[in-house]
Amino acid sequence: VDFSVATSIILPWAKESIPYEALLYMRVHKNHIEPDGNILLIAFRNHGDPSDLSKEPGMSTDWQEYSSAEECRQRSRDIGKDPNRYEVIQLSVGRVRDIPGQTVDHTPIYDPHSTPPLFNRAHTDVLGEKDEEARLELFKISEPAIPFGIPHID
Amino acid sequence: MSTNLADRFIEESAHTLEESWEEAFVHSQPEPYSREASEMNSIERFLDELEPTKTYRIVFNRRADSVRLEPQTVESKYAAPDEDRLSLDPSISEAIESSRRILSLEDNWDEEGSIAYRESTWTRATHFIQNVTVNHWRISKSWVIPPRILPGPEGSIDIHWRTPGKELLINVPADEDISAGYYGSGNTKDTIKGKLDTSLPNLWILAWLLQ
Repeated sequence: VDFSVATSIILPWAKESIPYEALLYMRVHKNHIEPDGNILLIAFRNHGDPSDLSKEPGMSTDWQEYSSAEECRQRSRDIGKDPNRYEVIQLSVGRVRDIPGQTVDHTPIYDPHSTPPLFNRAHTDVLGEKDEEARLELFKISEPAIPFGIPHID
Repeated sequence: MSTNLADRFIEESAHTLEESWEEAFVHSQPEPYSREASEMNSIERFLDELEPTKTYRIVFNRRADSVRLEPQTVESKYAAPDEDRLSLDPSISEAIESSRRILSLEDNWDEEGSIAYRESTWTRATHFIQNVTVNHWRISKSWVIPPRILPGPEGSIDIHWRTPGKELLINVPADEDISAGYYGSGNTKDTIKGKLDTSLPNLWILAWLLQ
C-alpha cells in the first residue's frame, strides 16, 4: 500500500467494547516511583494529543487483549523514550469503571504517516477528569504488572 | 526573662500564693492614657512595658521564691507554623524536610513535561501539615503518622495520608488563590471530597482520617 497517496486511512481494527474483567497496562516513568515502590499520584493524569486538540484528553493504557506488559513498556520507543526508564502497572477495567467519572474507551492507533509510524491495536484511553478522587482511586487499584526494578532486556 | 519582680508580685498580689504554679496570659493592648504612670503599682508598670497582644507565661516558683515571665512562642490558639516547627513530632519534621527535594526538580523532571515547583507552593503545603498536626496534637495529645509529600500535577503538591483503614489525598495548587482539593476514602463507603482553605486549622480532616 502506498500510504503517501492516501487521502484518508481507514482503521484496520474495529473499536471494541472492553469487558469488565479485562486488564489495562500503563507505563509509569521511574521518576514517578519512590524508592520504596510507591507510585506518585501524579502518574495518574490525562495527556492531550497535540496533533488533535479536539480530542478529549485521556490516560493512555494498553488493553491486555492485544498487548503484553513488556510490549507496553517497549512502546515507549514510539515516543522516543527509553523503555528502561519505565515500569508497567496494571489496572482492572471493572474497577476503573467503578470510579465516578472514569470511562474506558478502546482507541486503537493506526498512523502510518507519523514518524515513526504508529500502530497500536491495544491502545485504550481512560477518560474523565483526574481530580483527587480519580487519582487516589486509580492509585489504590493499581499494581505492578512486571515487578518493579526488573531491567528491560532487548 | 528573669526579674526581681517576685517580691513585689507577692507583696502586691491580692492573692495568697501558696504553691508553685504557672499560667499563660495574653497581655492586651493597654488603653492609652487611661491612667497616669504614677498611679500604677510596680506590677502594672511592668506589664505596661511588655509588648502588647502577645502571650506570656508566668512561672511562680514558691520554693525558689521567684517569678519568671516568659514570652510565649505561640501567639494564638492556632500556632504560627514556623514557631511550632521545633515541637513537631520527629517523623513529621523528617517528612517535611525530606520533601524539600521537590524544590530541586527542574522542568521536565519526569521526561513527561512536568514543570518545576515553586517554594511558595511547598511552604503552603508544609505549613498546612504543621498546622493541622500540631493542632491535632493539642487536642488529642497524640501525633498522627506523617503523610507522603509528593510532587503533583502542574506545579501542585500532593499530600497523601494513609492509615490502616483510610486514605486521604490533599492537592495544594501552584496558584495560591485556588483552594486545595481533597478526597478521602476508607474501606467502607465513608468518603469525603471538596475544597479546603489551607490557612485554617482544618482539624476535622484528621478527625475523619483517624476515626
